[in-house]
Amino acid sequence: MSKDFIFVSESVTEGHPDKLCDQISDAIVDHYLRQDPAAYIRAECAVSNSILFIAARFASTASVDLSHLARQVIAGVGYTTGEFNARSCSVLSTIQEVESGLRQEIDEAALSDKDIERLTAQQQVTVFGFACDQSPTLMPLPIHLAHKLCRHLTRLRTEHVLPCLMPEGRAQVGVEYKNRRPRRIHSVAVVTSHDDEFAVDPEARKRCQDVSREMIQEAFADEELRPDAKTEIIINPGGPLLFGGPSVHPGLTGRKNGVDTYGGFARHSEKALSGKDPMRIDRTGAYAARYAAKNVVAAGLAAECEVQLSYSKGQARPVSLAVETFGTEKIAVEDIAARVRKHFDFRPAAILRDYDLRRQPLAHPKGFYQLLAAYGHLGRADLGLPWERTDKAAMLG
Amino acid sequence: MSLPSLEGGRARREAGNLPASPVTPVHILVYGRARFKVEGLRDSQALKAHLERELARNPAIKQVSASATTGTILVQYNSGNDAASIAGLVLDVMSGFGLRADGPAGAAAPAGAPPPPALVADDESVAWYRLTAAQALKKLCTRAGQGLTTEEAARRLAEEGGNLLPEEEPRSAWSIFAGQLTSLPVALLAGAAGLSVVTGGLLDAAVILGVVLANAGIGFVTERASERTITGLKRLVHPTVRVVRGGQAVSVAAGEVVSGDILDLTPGSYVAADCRIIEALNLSLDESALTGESLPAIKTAKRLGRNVPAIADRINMAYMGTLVTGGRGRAVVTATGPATQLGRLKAMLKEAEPPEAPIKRQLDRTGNQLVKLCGLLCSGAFGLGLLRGIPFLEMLRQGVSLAAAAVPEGLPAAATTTFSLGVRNMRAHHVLVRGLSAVETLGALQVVCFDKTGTITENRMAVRAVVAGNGRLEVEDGRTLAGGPARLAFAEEADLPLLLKVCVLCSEVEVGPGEPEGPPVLTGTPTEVALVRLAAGLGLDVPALRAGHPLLAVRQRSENRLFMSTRHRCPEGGGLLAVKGNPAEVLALCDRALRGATVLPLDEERRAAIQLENERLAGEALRVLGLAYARNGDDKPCAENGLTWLGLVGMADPVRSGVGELVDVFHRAGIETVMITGDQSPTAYAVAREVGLNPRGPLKVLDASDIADIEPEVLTALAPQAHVWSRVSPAHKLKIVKALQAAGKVVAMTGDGINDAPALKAADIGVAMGGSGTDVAREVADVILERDNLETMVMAVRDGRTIHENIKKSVHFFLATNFSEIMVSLAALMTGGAAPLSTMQLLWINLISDIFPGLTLSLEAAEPDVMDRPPRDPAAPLFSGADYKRITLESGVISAGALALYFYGLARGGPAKAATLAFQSLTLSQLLHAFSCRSERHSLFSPGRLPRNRWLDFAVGGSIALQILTWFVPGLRGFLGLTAFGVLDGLLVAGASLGSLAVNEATKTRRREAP
Repeated sequence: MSKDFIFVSESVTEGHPDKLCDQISDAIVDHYLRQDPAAYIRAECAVSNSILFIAARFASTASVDLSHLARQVIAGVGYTTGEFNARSCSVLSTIQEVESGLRQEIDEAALSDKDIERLTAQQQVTVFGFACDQSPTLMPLPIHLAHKLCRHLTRLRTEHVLPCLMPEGRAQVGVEYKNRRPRRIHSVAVVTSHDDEFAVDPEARKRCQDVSREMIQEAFADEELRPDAKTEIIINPGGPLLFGGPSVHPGLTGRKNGVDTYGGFARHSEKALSGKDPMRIDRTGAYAARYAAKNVVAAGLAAECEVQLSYSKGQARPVSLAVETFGTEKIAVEDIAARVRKHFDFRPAAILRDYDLRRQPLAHPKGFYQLLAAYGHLGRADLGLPWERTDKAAMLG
Repeated sequence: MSLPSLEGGRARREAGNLPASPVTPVHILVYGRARFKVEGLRDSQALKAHLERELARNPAIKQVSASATTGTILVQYNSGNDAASIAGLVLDVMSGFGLRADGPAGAAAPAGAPPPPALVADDESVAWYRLTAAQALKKLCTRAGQGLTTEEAARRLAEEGGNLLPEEEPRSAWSIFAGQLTSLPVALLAGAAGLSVVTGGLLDAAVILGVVLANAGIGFVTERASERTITGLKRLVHPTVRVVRGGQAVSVAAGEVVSGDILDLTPGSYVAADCRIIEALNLSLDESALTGESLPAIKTAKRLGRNVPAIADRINMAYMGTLVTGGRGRAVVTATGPATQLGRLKAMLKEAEPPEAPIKRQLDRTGNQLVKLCGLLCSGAFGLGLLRGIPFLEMLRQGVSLAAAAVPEGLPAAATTTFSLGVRNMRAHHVLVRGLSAVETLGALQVVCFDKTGTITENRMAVRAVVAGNGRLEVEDGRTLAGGPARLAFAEEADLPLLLKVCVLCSEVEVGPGEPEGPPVLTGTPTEVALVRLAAGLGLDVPALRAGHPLLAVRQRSENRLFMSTRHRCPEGGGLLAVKGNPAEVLALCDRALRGATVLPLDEERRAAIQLENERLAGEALRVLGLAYARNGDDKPCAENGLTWLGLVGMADPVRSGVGELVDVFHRAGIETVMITGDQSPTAYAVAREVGLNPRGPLKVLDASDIADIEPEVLTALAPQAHVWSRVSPAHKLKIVKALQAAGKVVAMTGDGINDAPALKAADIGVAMGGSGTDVAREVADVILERDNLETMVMAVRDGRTIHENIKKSVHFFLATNFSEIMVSLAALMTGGAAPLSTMQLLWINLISDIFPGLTLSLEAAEPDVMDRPPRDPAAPLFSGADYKRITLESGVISAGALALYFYGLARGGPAKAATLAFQSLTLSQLLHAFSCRSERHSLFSPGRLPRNRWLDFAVGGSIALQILTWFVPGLRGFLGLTAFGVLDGLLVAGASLGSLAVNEATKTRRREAP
């Protein structure tokens, strides 16, 4: 790959149908774990027009009102009027209780090292974690900016800055790199969705353009790189979306992996992160790998770091741990890998223990996993996530 | 009162094309009688009377009858006239009517109205909708507030006749008997008799006639009995109506409503007669019975200014047979009974056809095909016989008799009889079935939709769990479970006793004296009754507690204050505030909690724990209430905050016992079960899981508050997926039924409310609960479960299936045996010489071996595994190709046995001996074959035994006895043309018939094993 390039990442707001599905799936995970930290739960959703499908498989003592919960999430996201709305949509839930043996009534904090070794990975997966010094959250700059714009877009709606705004929106940021370092903002594109009042109001279109431009300026206010005179700023290139959301296009759980991870800048496992309880290593492994990579960058061992973990069924430790620093390493890559191996415990039960993943929903009454399901599982500064801590940087350094 | 089908619209339109000439012939082909359509006669009783009176005076006319309903006149005239001259006469008489000065206005209905776009009213003599309400009342000599006086109503009732729809006249005994004689087999037999007379066989002719009469007699008796049963089906409900008479609202039978009566229109009531609305408050009517429009029509009392031909557009009229779905209103009756739109519609559709089972059409079709086949084969036999040199007439008589014996006569009648017996049987199980088609559909049922409340659950509340400071207490049937105390020490000031005391105080349940020694009678809301019952069950003296804490004030729960509070004076002085309601709201009022006997501050952690517990209970599908209290030293009202939290109570509507097993029975019978409920989905899910709606796979819950939003195609695709429909309003049941039907399912729907009526009507089988259901639900339902017991529903399905199978068994028997007769005759003619079966013998077979075993086969009890098989495909024909093959094989086996003896006889003793052996063997084999026809699956050799059918045993035994008489009684032998019969012959015959039975049974077993 050439060292000079333009990289574009996109993020979507919580009103995007795919993200809506992710949030409902993770809200279900939250509610099960809140009642029963040992719950086994898988939840997938699909939404189209005014019908939401939920497929839930669980082994748990908890009981959760799936459709009520889904409606809460839909209302929370902002779909309260229009063709698809929390009140009148139909929810078809396929509820399957599986054998209770899948429930793991284990307190990881009390386990001995031997026990942790015995709790092996249940999936065969290669996960990646990435960090770089392009942004304060140590995320690639394009996705960091795209998330930020999307949050601002949502704020415009929830604070009623721009009327007639519907929950769906998307933002794209193109960053020009020189020698693998971000040099300028190449382009910013924002797509908004509106209700039908907007369509008949000629003033609204202009106002939307103005407010969006203002919003972009605001979002970049505290950034090092800001749009310059040559930056292309595009607002609703194909005209704004009418209504947006599931009444316009369908959504599915786990289809926005790029948005969930690094915006395509770094590799990801292509496995969905949402709708799975934390016993799934394909979910928690991605968090653990990010934790390691972030600490490597925070310790100043490299400007960019990718940690790759490969898990095999039946083994607790990843069968492979590889570090890639793209030539930005300050010490030998093998040395970095050795330090990572020494200071991080990547065994599934250890991850559960270290991040207290079973009990996080209890500690977060507004939802833990559900909040991860929009604006990225990684690089979140707003949630105090355990895998975003840089507490091991000192040890690594 | 049964509602006519919507086909009325078509009939109505055709009738609406008024003829150009005032008198047009309708039917004049039969000399001596003529029917004419007479312009202006429709709806004009005066013209009818005039025509009848004047024409009857004319010497050319024997008899005349005019109908104001159809607008036609039937004239029977004397010879020397013809239709044209009679038409002229009618015209003359009519013109005389027009000239009369006192000609009533009723005849002046405008003719040649434009062709109507929708169902158009038969124009009433008065256009009531164009009058104001006051004008209408005045014209009907009545007053809105007072109504008619009782005397006036009685006078009008005598004058107008009852408010009853014209009933179809039951067929007379004679016409039923005559019906038996007008069938193809009878015609064939008559032909055979005629031929016998020609060929000199007077005795033969007499015997043939005897057989015909005997056959007709049997048919007559069974058909008459079934007709009686069917007629009885119509008289299941006797609705009453609220009317104003003499200033008082009274209930009268719907049949006693007269014009001028003021009707009270309330939701769920049927409109008893045609009426003009005089008061309407959001009044909406379901007029689908008349207009076919399933959306409710909004009604008003305003006058309409123009001519409105379509009933659906007359928004200030309410017509008989429509249903009030919402709002309130009052209306003045303008027409009753036959004069109503419904009455006219019914008269239009009046058919003299006897009620018949739907399977009858299928049987008729099958029968016709068989007649053709038999005809072909019999002509073949006839031709063969001629070739063999048998005299023409003799062979013709043979051929015709063979045809008469072989044609499967009486099948449709047997089917109807079987159905009506089934209806009677179901009634004995307290299942009322309205119509024979329902019986048949029950047997093909594929999906049953249940109402949750009242059908699957008991429609009451019972406490399931109490969470007080010290932990959780499981409760069932008002008793504590899992080590909980059987009785509580209520004297203690601890959390649980106090919680229950607050439950009792903060409630409006009235405690009535029960039976001595029995529990007290509690009346109040289900929730509160459940709480008080639990407290009483645990030993709390409810009346004493209440007496000790007199009630000072009550604040009811309201929309934005989701809890109830009561203030009491305590016996030890001071006041007590008892609060019960929505847990979140009650908890927000509390700042401390009681745990054991100690009061603890309510910190965030404890609050969160309580909320989690609340969520857990709610997740268990329980209705959860939170309880709290406060005390103060004086009588001043306590502030409604700073309360002490006591705990949570979870309640549920218990599942009826045995429903799980019944659901399982349905599943084994291949019938899908669907539960429909307005509840939230966890409640629905918990109940569905408890009764096992889908024990083998994931449970699919469709939570849809607004099904109308789903596109029809999507709903059709979704509907068969869902096991549970939650948050569905009763009005949406119709959509669910339609969607399931669109997906190709035969659907039953249970219901008891007013809003259920459209869905019950649309369902293939609408099931109403007899005890708890509303009149409307019962009226539109196809099946009424008198005891509200789903078990009877299972019985109904089993009976439906059994009836269908039994008809199949009967027909199977008829076909197999009749084919064998043809086969034997054909084979004998082809290979030997003479026809082996004489006319007399064929008749004997017809009378002895066919009818009684066939009829008694239709009385078979249900096969033991009838409910372990999937429902039959409603679109499949009665007999499949494989069935026909099987039937042919069976008759082949029977024929082979008979023919073997025939050839043996031919070799040993000549044609006479051969014929005798063939006849005896054939008859006996046929009789024994009835046992084989008892089941398609179970053979005599298979392990499972069928329940005994005494009727069949009796019929076959009797017939065999008669058959054996022909061996010994010389007179009988001579009559049948049989030769003497030896012991060896007897053994051979017995061996051949038992042998063919054994072969047929053995091959049946094989067929069953090979799929």
